[in-house]
Amino acid sequence: MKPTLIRALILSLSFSSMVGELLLSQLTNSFVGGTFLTYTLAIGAYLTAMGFSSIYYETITAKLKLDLELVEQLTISIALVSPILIGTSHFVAPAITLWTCLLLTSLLGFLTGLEIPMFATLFASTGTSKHQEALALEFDYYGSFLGAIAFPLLFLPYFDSLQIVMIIVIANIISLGALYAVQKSFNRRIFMGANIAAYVCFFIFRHDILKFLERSYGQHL
Amino acid sequence: MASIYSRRKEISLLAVSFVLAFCSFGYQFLISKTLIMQTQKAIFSLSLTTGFFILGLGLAARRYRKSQTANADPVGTLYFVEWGLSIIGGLTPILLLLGYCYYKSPIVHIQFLANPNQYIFLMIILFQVFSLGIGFISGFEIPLMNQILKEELSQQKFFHVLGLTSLGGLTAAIVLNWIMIPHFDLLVSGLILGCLNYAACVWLFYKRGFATTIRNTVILVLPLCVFIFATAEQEYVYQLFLKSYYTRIPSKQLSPKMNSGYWDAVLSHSPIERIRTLYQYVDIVQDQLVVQTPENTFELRNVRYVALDGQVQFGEEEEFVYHDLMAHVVFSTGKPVPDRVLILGAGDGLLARELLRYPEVKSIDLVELDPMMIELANTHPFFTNLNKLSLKNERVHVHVGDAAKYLLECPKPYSQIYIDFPFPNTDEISKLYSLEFYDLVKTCLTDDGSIVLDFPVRLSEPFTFDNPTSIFMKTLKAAGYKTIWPYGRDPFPFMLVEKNERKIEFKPNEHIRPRSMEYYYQFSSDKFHSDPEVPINSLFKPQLLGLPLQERIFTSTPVNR
Repeated sequence: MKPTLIRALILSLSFSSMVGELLLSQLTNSFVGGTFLTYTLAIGAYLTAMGFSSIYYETITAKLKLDLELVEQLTISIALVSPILIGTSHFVAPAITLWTCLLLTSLLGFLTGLEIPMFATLFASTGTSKHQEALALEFDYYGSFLGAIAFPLLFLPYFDSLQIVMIIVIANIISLGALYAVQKSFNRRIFMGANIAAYVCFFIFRHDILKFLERSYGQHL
Repeated sequence: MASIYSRRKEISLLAVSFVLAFCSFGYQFLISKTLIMQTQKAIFSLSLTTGFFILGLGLAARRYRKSQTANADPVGTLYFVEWGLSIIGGLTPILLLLGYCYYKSPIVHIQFLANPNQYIFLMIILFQVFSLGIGFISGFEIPLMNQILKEELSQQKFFHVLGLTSLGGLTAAIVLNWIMIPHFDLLVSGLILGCLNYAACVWLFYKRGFATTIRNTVILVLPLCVFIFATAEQEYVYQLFLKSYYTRIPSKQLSPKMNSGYWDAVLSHSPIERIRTLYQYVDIVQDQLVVQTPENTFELRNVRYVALDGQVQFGEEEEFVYHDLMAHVVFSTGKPVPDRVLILGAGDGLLARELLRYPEVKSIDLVELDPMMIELANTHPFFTNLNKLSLKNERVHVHVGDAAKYLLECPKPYSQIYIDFPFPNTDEISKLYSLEFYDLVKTCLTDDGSIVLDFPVRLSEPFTFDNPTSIFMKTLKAAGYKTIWPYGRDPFPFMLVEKNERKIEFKPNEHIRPRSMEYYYQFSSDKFHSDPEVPINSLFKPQLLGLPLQERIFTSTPVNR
């Protein structure tokens, strides 16, 4: 795999992870308030999970048989169910809304944390740099930076929460497609098919999901 | 034995990694919080600060990656990195406040930015130099600690250091939110973090084994002296910031030539009483204004007003106009005075004071989120002089809690609800002006009930899609209210809203003072929401943020009642 493509993939994935993480904070903030508390805790949970999965990367990937494709597929699934899970948790018990957000951001952080050593391994295979971890980390930081800038300037003013989910999922699907194209192997077709079907459903029923979120706030479905 | 020694060494080094990360992320969160205090743009400040901090980390990772040889003295380098970081990080909140004073002064007046929001956004972006700088310096911590661990333990620990750094981020978020900011506020929290960072710096000094020469000792002790000086002066800096914040000069009148006059005005401003509560800053500001006397002459008079999170709420001389129009107009439109009334917000007790003038009102339920606001209303002389201790009246029942939660558990629908929240200049309050919130209010309102609320107005034409008044009315319409009757006048605009259609005719009652009637004006609502382009303010697509809203300023010509 070409180092440029690896860089582009890291940028795209870390961009969508950061936007996803900020979106989850914003969704939770809409339900429970406390902008500073929600955002800082979500950022903290995201980073901790990221660090945890980086430390135990080898054990985790060996035990759970995780690879980059699966990590991306899981990220797409989490992004698609997140708004519904947050809305449902608020409807069931408002006290758990923040915890649901922290759980979901931790999952996103956990998967992003696994990506860094995976990309470092990919860089190592190209022989690009002797500091492959630093290289992967650096591009992860750049992608996160772009995500953090784009969220308040581009996403929040022009798109609603569900449209933002669809944009970041599309970015992940394109990255996954690029990965398949380069690796010339297409594993986990069923999982990918399920994710695409879920995306289509999400697109068709987005107004109903938005209605559901609105009603969850008032707790009268 | 060697293995135990090595394990202890590893733990102590990893513990230092954790402390350093805790401080770095703590600085980042403090920058966000300080910018929020200065601008009230929470999401923008938080996202940008996080982004620029991460960019700084990335640039440092790049710098490290590009250096081909390993650092010859990683402990010594880390010592200097932490030395610089402790000073810059510890002083950042103070520097941001001073930066604000400078940015607001006529020297930095930027002519091409007509919209005040653009002025604020530009400031947030410019101040990101601190996030970028702290991120960049912090970015050297991970590779340097990794190298130290590698050299001392002969083991690769890159991802352990990364993991502990991340954990430091979460710990900083928890400690700052629940311990440091509530107890010490921003400036002292910054200095505490700086001292903690400095402690790690001292540890590195001894670990490196620097010779205790005069030069080295002076360098080592310098941050401590800076922190002691900053601690002594932090109250002065805070007051300077507040005075600068509340010195209001129209931007059109600013020019660099006015600089010295501007600073004279700032420094001669009366001290501002700031009360920090769990949810907001309550400022009691004393200022001088040119006021009109009954003899139609003008004089300079001291006026006091209250601001919440920097947004002016009411002045003591004209608050009665606001509360007259809010409380009494609805009962001048043919609607009978009910025996039960609900007030959402208005913890200052002023609206309750007006409603207590009706003997027909047997019970007033007042829901206020901030318990300290109730405490102030009952004990602070500024408030008790105005509200006549209304909240202690037996007919008033105070409920401390979230308005939305109260509405969800609404015991019995009310026929009269008053909504008196601050204008949605912050992300936090914007949701109280959303479709979902108005939908919720409906569930606690009888079919023939009325709601009176104040709203962020921009009554000037054109009534296009980006006019907050249009957005506000369209949102109420979308929530299913059929009667939307705007009245009042800048800066006291109100809305009478009902579920069903009703033809409203206004005949002033005896409770509305003549001075208040000068502000009564009724205008048609149709022109506001007739434009199909006008969006709806929703929780999931907030529309009011980023728009220039009318600030609730007090009138400059108060007269006696």
